[in-house]
Amino acid sequence: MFESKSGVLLIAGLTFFGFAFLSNAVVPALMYADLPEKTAEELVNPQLRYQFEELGRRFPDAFVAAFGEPPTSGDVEGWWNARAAEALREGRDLYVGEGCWHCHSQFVRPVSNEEQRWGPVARSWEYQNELQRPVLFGTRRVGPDLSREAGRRGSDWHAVHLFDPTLTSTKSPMPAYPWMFDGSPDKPKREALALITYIQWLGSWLESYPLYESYTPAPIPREGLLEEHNGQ
Amino acid sequence: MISSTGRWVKVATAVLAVVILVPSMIGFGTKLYEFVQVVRSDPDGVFALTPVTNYLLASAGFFFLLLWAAANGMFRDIERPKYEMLQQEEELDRRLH
Amino acid sequence: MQAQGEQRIDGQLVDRSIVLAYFGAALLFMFVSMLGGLLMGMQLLRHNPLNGIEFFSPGRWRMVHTNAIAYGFLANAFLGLLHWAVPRLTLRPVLDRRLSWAIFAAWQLIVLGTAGGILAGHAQALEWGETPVWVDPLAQVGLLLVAVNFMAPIVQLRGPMYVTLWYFMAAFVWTFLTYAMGNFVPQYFVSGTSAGAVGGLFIHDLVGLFVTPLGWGLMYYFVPIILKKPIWSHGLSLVGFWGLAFFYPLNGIHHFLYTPIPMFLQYGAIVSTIAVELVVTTVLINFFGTLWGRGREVVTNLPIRWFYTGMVFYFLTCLQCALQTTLTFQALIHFTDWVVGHAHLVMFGVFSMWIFGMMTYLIPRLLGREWYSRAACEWHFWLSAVGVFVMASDLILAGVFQGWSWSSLAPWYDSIAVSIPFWAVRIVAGLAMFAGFLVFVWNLWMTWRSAEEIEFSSVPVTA
Repeated sequence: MFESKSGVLLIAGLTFFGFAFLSNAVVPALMYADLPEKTAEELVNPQLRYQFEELGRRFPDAFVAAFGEPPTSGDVEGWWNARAAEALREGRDLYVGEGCWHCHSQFVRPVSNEEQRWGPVARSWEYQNELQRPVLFGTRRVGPDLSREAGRRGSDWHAVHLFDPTLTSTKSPMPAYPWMFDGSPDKPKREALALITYIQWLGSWLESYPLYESYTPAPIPREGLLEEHNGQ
Repeated sequence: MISSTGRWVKVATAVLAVVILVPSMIGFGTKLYEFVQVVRSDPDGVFALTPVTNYLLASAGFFFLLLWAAANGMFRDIERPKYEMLQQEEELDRRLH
Repeated sequence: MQAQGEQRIDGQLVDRSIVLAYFGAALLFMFVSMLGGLLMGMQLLRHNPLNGIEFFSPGRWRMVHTNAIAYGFLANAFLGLLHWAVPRLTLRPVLDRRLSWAIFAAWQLIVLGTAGGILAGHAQALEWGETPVWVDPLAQVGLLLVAVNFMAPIVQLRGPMYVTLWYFMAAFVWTFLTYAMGNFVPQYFVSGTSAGAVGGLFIHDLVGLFVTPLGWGLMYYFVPIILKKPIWSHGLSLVGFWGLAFFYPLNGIHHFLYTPIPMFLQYGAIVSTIAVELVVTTVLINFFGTLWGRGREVVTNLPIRWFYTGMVFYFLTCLQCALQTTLTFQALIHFTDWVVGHAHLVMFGVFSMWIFGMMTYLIPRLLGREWYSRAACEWHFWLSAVGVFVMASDLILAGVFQGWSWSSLAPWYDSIAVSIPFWAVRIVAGLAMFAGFLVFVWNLWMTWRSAEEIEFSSVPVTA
């Protein structure tokens, strides 16, 4: 094989293949080299912390059962941040395992009036973190996009919605997740708390937080529509 | 056969070639021009080169494999395998049972 | 090639029992997949009797639905068909028969592990590759063994090769690489947008580099032997093969248009997707050229009818693909049921229909019995073909309405309300396909049970 001319061609072909495969993997990595991947701990921000602590106040018994008693002295901040990061990771795993991402996308496109409905168009840096391994862009929207969901609704709404979606959205085709609760929406298990934490994180990093969904039918995009709604 | 139909085929080929190639060349030319402009002006323009390089590398790989196959006589008497394959099938059906 | 083969021709070339075993597994997983689809379809109509039960959660069953088709039905059926086609084309048995059975057992474990893992909530966040991360290495080894087992007889051939073998060889290499790229790179090496680029490539290459080459390779084998007529142009078929190689592998990013993935990559994917359609046209010209003058076979010969109906659907999906991949269409139809309709037309309307055609042809030969009921075969065909056509057209149309509803900024529920009639039609179409499948399984069972053994060579090709 190696002594013939055709052998050289074979080797050249395979080598070019190798180069292409390599550049396919290396190029995107180099393109985002200036955006280091964030860990879950680094993703905990004040908005998320507020939502997470609020979960603790709203469902005290369930919260203590799931994450333990919050310390009153010592490294209180560190404890909350660590528990929030833990909940984020777990919530993300549940979001993947239940297939939420097959009906709820996580990116806003610059077309089809999506900026009006959801908020700022998706940017690369928003996805540069360990919770996006593999990335949860999604390819189908039966339900709304969730990448700007944080803070839009209270955690109690999410608890009721996960327990039985038709309680909050009468005709929702979303499946119910009662096994994440101890029999009623006010008794969430660790799973439900983690999943709600994850949902309340989606978009919490944006300046425009919380960004309320626009329900005003406006076929033609109008300047200032978003500001009007943000002011409400 | 060559005289009348051959001429007709030539004319049809020429017409098709012009109809397909001229717009394609214009389209390709403008895109190439735009591409060169992007590479030169856009600060992220260099990245435009990377996917193109990727495509060229993979295509070069296939191209050399194609040459290798040709050098090995894989395309000699190119229509033979389709007859052999049918004969073989008949043979198998006869002899296996 | 002929001379070497002569000695082996009398020995057992094809292990018929393994072909049957693979077919059985494939049909079992098709049943599971259809159940999953039905469950999700009923959930969307809010008539799911099992709503709220963890292990019947439609979200999980949706993933079982797609994975059971890709790895349970298509992979099993293809492996069975390869065990028939490769030895007969090369006149050599596969590398090792024990290895074949080991692969069979391992592959069923992989598929069951995938289904079990997904139902237990361990899915991986990769579309079409939700196989739990602990199944991935095992599947990778399985694919390697498959490649070794089938490549052994192929590489011994000298001289010009028939186009089917070109496709098969490429498929073994590509499937292995595609699976590795999709399941490991975005999980362990890159995250975020670059993971999206790789994930897009995976979704697309799984169809383009695993299902497509095996499907077309088998078509180039079965169509000529059933029509007893060589393929119209072998040269053109090789153009199709090399065209697939040049243009198909890198257009997966068209699944994530308008994402933060750099626009250059998105444009490149769109252009090469359109280039693929030109290649597809050459392949279709070749097959219809082969059929030329024998058009009546489509009426009388069931396998041929399955094949050519699938090819018409293939042409439709590819035409649709060339349009929908453009940014203009994407703005409207991305995220909608349009894409779901497209996927059903490709996976069921094309590849599953071809496989059913091949099964219709092979099962009498494998069992040594004539089909129990020709009428049941007809029912299977018509229910499947009409069912998938109605389902795909219905969902494609639904997608347009959903897209318009969203861009009009109407309340979200409006897009659900507008979909309900379409989803209702989809269920009916799906039930028709399910019924056709059950008729097929019943017919297979009755054929199996029937005592009447006939001479192998006298089995008519027309099933």
